[in-house]
Amino acid sequence: MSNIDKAIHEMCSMEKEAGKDGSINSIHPLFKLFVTVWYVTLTISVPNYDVRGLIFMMIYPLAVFIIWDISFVNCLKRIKVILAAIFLLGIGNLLFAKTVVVGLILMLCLFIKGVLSVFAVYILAVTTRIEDICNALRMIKVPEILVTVILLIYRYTNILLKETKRMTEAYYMLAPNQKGVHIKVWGQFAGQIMLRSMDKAHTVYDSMNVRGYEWNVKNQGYKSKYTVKARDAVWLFGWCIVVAALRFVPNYVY
Amino acid sequence: MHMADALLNHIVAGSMYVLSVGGAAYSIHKVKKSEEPIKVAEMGIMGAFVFAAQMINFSIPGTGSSGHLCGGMLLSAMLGPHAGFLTMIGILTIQCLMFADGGIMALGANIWNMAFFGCFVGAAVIWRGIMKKGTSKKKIILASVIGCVVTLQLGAFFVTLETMASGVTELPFKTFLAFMQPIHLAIGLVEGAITAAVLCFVYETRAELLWGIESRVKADRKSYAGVMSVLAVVALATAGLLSLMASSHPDGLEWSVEKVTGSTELSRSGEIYDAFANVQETLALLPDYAFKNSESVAGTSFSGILGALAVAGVCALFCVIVRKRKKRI
Repeated sequence: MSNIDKAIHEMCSMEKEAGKDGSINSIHPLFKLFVTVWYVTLTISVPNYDVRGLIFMMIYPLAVFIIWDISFVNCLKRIKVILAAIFLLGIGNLLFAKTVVVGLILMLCLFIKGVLSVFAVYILAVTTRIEDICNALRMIKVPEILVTVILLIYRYTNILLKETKRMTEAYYMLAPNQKGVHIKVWGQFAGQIMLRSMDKAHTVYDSMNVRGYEWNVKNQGYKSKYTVKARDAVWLFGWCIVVAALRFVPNYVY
Repeated sequence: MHMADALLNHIVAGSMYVLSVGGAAYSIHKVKKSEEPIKVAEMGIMGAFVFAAQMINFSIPGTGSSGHLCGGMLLSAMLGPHAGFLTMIGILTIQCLMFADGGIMALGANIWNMAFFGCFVGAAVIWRGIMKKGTSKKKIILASVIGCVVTLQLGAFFVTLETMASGVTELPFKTFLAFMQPIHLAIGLVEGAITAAVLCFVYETRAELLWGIESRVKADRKSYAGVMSVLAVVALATAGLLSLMASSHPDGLEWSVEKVTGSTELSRSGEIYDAFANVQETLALLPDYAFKNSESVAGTSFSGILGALAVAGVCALFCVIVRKRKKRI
């Protein structure tokens, strides 16, 4: 499978996973967003050398992964590049710390903090559709232009990838034995993709407009989709209390 | 250059959020205030382009490292700094919330490091400065390379500053800086080359899409208005003042007629000739470029100015009629 096919497949599978009918997927997106921010804030506030404190913080992502059956292997595959970057920075600490033990502890702390916060955001991403996240942003009064741009970027990425695939296939048909796009035509190739996608995007946008879409007209209709149910409240307050307990109770106990 | 949450403490993360929200509010205000309609579709597709470009990591020769496009410079050269900044915020938010790339607490810092410098320093200062006196492919290459290198260096410097201020690492400041700056210099050069190649292609095919060029066209329109004003002043001065120094000698035709007939004016008699002469005498406000029954030089000046204005008025009226007819067609 080509890289472009993989990218399209990856985007579709993430969206498919987020759009499932599971109980965690149907929780109010604003509450999920709030729990994520709360968890990440408390996780990064753990002192630098407190590995024990971080071990307690692992409970939230692990519990969600296990209870709601989110694939841990897929998660690691998708975030491997990010994990590698965090690991590299951690190694830097090992080399420059005063003692090896201090460096090791700091490296471990940095790595665990990084991994946990990425896990938390991954849980949000894999259980919430982009439309729901955007509506959650609307609810907290993020300006409409920003929300629209986020939605359009996400939707147009598919158009762009398909256009890229089409152009790449045409290029390889003209140059069958060539490995990759020749460096001399990179600019033209990328520019052509950009302009063609821009034209395509305009066509799509015009079609939306003639069907009555106006980005700057306040659409309040989405609010009726998100009625707060008891389980949403349980999710929000439950996790907020649990995460706060995980962060602060061990300090008093030990 | 996407920072993870682990690299920041909550105070630095919060401060960077405040700065970035300030930048976003300013950009939204400027975009809304702009006379041009907001190019939402362009913002969307350009955002998708940079988003996809950021997925492609290229190797940095001789380092064993890789980098990806930051894209702030490219976006702003197409959309302008304010719309570009908002689009970059969109990209970074999607990467953060949908792909867990760049931390949710570090989003403010990432916006500042990657979007603010790329859009405001890259486009509003470097791109605009270089394109001030006209555009050429050489200038586009120069602006792209300088813009990408400078903005990435600033971004990398701020990543170092924010990490050190958060106190999450034992790395000495100088050592961290010595890692960050050279690698981002290399990434900046590669990004500059890619940005230049894409922008040169756009310049050759559809130059009006480039931000600097568009404002250049407007500037040209302004200078056109300036030239027209100067011409109007010169025309009025010629008509009002230089007309006083006009030669009293007969013109070429009159001179030729005089040589043949002994007089500059031919006298013809007859009913038709007399009728037309009467009509002309009645209609002519300033016969022979002077007040009626007066030898005053002011009459000549006044005739010149009034004549010039009348010609300009008739031409303008003609243009308006033609434009209206074209619109109907």
